[in-house]
Amino acid sequence: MSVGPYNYSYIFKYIIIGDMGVGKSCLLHQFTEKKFMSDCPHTIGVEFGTRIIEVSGQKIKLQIWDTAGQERFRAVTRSYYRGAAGALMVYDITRRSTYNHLSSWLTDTRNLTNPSTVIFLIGNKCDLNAARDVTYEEAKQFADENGLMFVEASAKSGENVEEAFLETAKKIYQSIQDGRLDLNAAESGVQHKPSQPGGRNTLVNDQTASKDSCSC
Amino acid sequence: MANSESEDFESADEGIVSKSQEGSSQLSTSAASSASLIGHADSETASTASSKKETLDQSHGDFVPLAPVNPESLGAKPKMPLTGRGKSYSKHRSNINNADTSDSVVPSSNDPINQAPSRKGRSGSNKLGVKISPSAVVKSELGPPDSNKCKGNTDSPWSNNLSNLNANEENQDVHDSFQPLLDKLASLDCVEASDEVIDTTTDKAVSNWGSWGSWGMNTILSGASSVSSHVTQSLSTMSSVIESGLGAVEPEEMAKLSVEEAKPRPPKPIDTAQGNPAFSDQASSSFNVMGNVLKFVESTGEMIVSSGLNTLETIGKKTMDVLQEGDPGLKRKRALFSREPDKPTLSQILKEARNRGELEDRERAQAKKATRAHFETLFDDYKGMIHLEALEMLSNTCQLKLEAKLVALSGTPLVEFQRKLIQIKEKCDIPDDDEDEEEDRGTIDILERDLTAAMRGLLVPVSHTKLIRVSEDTDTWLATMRCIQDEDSQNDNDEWVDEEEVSEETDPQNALREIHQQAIRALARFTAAVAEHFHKTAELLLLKEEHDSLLECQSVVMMTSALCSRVSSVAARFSELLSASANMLDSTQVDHNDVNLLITNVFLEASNSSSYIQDASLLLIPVLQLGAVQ
Repeated sequence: MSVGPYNYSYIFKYIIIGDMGVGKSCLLHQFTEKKFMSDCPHTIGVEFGTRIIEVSGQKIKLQIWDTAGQERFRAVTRSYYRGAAGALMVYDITRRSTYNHLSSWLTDTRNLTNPSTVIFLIGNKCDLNAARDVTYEEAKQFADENGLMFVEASAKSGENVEEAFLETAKKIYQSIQDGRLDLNAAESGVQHKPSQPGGRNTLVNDQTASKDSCSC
Repeated sequence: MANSESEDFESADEGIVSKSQEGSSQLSTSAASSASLIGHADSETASTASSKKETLDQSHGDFVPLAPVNPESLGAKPKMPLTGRGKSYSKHRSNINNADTSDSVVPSSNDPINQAPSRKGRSGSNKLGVKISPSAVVKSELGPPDSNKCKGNTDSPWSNNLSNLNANEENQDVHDSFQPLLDKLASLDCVEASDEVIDTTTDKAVSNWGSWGSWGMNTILSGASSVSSHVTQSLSTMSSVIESGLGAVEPEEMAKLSVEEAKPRPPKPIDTAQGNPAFSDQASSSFNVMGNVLKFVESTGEMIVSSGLNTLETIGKKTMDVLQEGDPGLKRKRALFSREPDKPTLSQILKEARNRGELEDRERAQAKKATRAHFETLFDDYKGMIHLEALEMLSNTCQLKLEAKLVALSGTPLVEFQRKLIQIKEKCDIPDDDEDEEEDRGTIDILERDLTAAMRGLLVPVSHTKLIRVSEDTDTWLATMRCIQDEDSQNDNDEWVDEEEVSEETDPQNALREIHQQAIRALARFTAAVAEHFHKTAELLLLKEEHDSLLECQSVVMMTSALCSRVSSVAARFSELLSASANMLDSTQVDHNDVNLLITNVFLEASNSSSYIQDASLLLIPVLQLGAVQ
């Protein structure tokens, strides 16, 4: 088999979670397209975005699962946490309710992901400082208490958006280097691509195998 | 040892000196080298001869800072080239590893000048290098006087004028009795020669050509006199030592130099001068003039040669430094270049590297081609894979929930529950052979009709516009290609088109590959859209409060078979296009095996696509089952 077409060596799975309307899809769009989407439709279930970044000289493909924030999709989106290497937990600094729900999102994340999953708290819409409803300090304290990384960002201005995604990737990569994250574990959320198309075929095979088990 | 040294000399001289100045430059070279070395010695009076040698060996760089010192201490006009020449000379020496570098320099430069008048002046064909070889023998004997002399020089850095004056006075008295000694010394003091040149020379020079012997002696004596004045105190000591060394020196070489020097003059005087030391007496009155001429020529040649040599030397030195870096003695590099039979030569290595590079390029190009037409990759790029993955995760969740319910049940409810699950599964079986029912299955109209009906049955707000759009794009492309083909075939019939021109415009193989690639891309894109469609359907089915499970199952089956039919239809139309294109082309241009391979591959990927679609529909079953039992 010829050398594969992959120009990256890892795939990290991210999941973006948070209440409806906090700007999850806009953050993703800003990160992947470097544009602000002013009227973003409600996400159905989950949408996907990808971007290849570089951490410590390694090309990493970020595979970002942008989940629906609507409460009715909560049961569906819970299926998607599994195997996320990074979780971006987003609230809206102008709406305290979205901040108050964080503990519920955090519980879901802790329950449905593995311990090595990096959780990054993002206070979105920091361009609307005048309408601020949640102070930086209290959010920072919440993040510190729960061992989360934290930043206030703006999907509109692009401020700190890159940083949030890149810092998460760096932390994950560090975990791999330290050996805390086992690449062979099924739910690590990280796929190592030894630059062979076999990686993808493996995925298909896994799927077929699991399909056999579930369609009996 | 001596040979290698002389070779160095020879090649350096020959390489750089222009023909007309050959003779003078050869002479001046030796003069310059002795000059710079003496200068070097001057600056390091305190140090012993051996330590000087070390300096010479270790770093040529030492000479650079010394450059300004030389002229000063010798009373000479500043001549940078001197330094350069000295460098090269010292390098030869250090290479040879002879006893004492600073010692050896003196006699070697001595030889040529010294013997010129006394022996054959004619053997001009001999090389300077040959002459130097005996000097290697001499040099060790001359150690002490040299260092003495050096000291003398440093102790009394006299001006030119003074030394010249002294020379004139002393010569008369001394030169008869000390003739051999002075001869020897003359060469030591060649440095002085270059100093006096420019002011005095030109006018006097013309008249004195008459005596060959006189000019030769002239040089010697003037040089000797100045030296002798430098070293008056230790004259006796020196004379004994130098005399002892004198016998060993080969005179021919110096004579040769002299001949070269004398070229512009008529050959006759040379003959008379040859082997006739008596001339020196006659010529003593005019020897200063001749000396000046010689010195002028000498210094000019010296400047030219030494600047050129200087550059060459710097290059050579740097090269050696680089080569020897981390490889003392060049052992590894020598090993690398030595031609052992089993070891590959450099050219072989380069050739292999080039071949390897070409191979890699080819492989990369092939890989690129393969990538472009690689169904899985394209499917992934169109996000089909990830939707399928998400659908699978949903399906697994549903399966887990069903199992949880199953465990909680027992007795009749369990049986009823299982019966429902099995019923749903059976209803979702996709019938195999219904493709012949309608001729035009796979067209967009039929596809849209079936999809609309299916979605109505499923009662989920999932739009199938994406599927339709993708299908339309494919149909548009196929239609365009067919138009082009029709035009081409018409053109062929008209015979108006120059066939060569056509074949030059497009490589037929590439055209076929392009069609194949487009087929794979269309299939991958469509399949990805299907995966997304099924995924969204599953998500929204899970949100539904009420289910008509049987209708849902029928709808899923209808949808699946419509999509699969579409895939078959697309594959068939691309294959038709491929074979039609191949048939249009001359059989010499196209390998029909290749065409068949391409067509086979299209059908293979179509079946791959169909199995993805059916996998997706199977993943829906637990979702439908969960809806049925809620």
